[in-house]
Amino acid sequence: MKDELLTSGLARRDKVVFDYIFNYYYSSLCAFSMQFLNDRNTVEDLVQDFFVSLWLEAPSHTIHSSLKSYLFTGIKNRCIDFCKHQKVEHKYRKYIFFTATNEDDSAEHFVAESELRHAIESCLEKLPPRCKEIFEMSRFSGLSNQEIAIKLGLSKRTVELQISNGLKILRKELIEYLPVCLVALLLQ
Amino acid sequence: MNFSIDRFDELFPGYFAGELSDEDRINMDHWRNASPENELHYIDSVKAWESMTLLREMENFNSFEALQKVNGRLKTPGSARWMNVLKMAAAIFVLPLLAYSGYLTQHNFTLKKMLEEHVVTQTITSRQGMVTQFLLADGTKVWLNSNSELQFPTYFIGDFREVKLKGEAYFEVTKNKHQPFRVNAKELRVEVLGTSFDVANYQDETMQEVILVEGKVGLSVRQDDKSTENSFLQPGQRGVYCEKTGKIVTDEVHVDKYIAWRDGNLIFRDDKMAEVVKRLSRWFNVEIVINDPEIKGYIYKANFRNENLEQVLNLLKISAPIDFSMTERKALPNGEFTRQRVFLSKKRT
Repeated sequence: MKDELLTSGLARRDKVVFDYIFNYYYSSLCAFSMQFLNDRNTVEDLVQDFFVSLWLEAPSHTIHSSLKSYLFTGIKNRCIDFCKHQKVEHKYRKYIFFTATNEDDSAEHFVAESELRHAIESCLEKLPPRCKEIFEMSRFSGLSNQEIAIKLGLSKRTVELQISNGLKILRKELIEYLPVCLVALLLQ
Repeated sequence: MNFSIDRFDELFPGYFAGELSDEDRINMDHWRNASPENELHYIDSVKAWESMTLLREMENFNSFEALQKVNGRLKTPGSARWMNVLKMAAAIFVLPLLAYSGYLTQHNFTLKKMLEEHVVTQTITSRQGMVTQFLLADGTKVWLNSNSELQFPTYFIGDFREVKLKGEAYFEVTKNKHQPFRVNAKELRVEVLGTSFDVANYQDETMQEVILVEGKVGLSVRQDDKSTENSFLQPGQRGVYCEKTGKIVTDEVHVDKYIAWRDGNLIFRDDKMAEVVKRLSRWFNVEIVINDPEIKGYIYKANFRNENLEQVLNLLKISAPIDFSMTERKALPNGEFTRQRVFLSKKRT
């Protein structure tokens, strides 16, 4: 989708364009913000506020960068501002200090939900059927390697090898989506 | 020490799950610290591993509901003022403005078409013990049962309105005979024009059920893009697709008990204990093990509403000669929890 079409549509306050951008980026902006503020409700409030002001200020605002980096940088600044005004747990403040002072590119590399889903799904399609089955059991149903081994009547080592093979392919295929995924580490 | 990148890849799943022997774990740590490249390889592996966690995290946020909240806040006095200016301008420059609005509509039309080509897929998940209700873009009402997931586009384009279901959902489909509504549940496909029905497609089961309340639905089984089995349902009928035989069997049922979950009720009407146990385990997300096979045949009749698992089991205990015991949930090394287990046995006299 062409960026200029979206930004110019936004500047015209075109509701169809606004809805599209909202649906496209909402969940990933929320997930992205979770690395700064580990609270779902706060994060949703901030992202919704951000979209409301995006709409209100749209005609007087020109977006020079790509729409994506405009959105992610914008929400990041809002998260940082919010933290400054709140007593936030020490570990998060430390992290924010770190990212705010070092010009990081986390905003640049984040992906929308549908892009990530598409990337993962097409990756999984490339795995051999048995490998895919085991990999999905491991990642989606929360079974331990031992439990999968028992369920499928395989040795634990075979299960681990299959997961490892799946991971190798995923790592290669997902490479351009990878910078963002580090965030998930911070979510835990 | 002979430790290669391949050996690292091999051990990684165990390493990450915290299931390695001390020796292997120490070797892994050594390897990671040996060079910055090794550490980078480790980080990339973690990212690939965690990409699915990130996707799940995103799915926790529902843009559909959020947009409805935001919509209420978008009306501004500013835009009303702008409209006034526009009206004044319109009075003066009627003709040029008309021409401009013509251009705008044209522009909007191509824009709409472009947006339609970039459909956004949305996933809504219902957590354990919760029923989620929402509307799709065409006005179709959906009730999503506990532990279920529905994938749908934010706009419906093309010849069909297609959605993908894991778990159980009840649909009240908005009539549109030009664009039939399709539910895909594994190989089973349910197709309708406008009607109310329930689809149950739990991942851990090898049977899928469709219960029709109103209207008419067509069922078909898709394998390798070919339809191998077809069937139609009348109101009050149930269609069961069995993965093993590849066949669809229809029968008459009491519709109420199948759709009672929408209002948070569990209804059993002369159901065998095996069926009762199956539905309880889904509802409470627990594993129920029947120790004495004899219990499976017990017939049961009950209505539950808002009772918790222990209350339900106690009621069960009073009304049938059975006893139960439970295990606690255990934390796994990866931070998730095992399902709670319940054991049912015959009451000892």
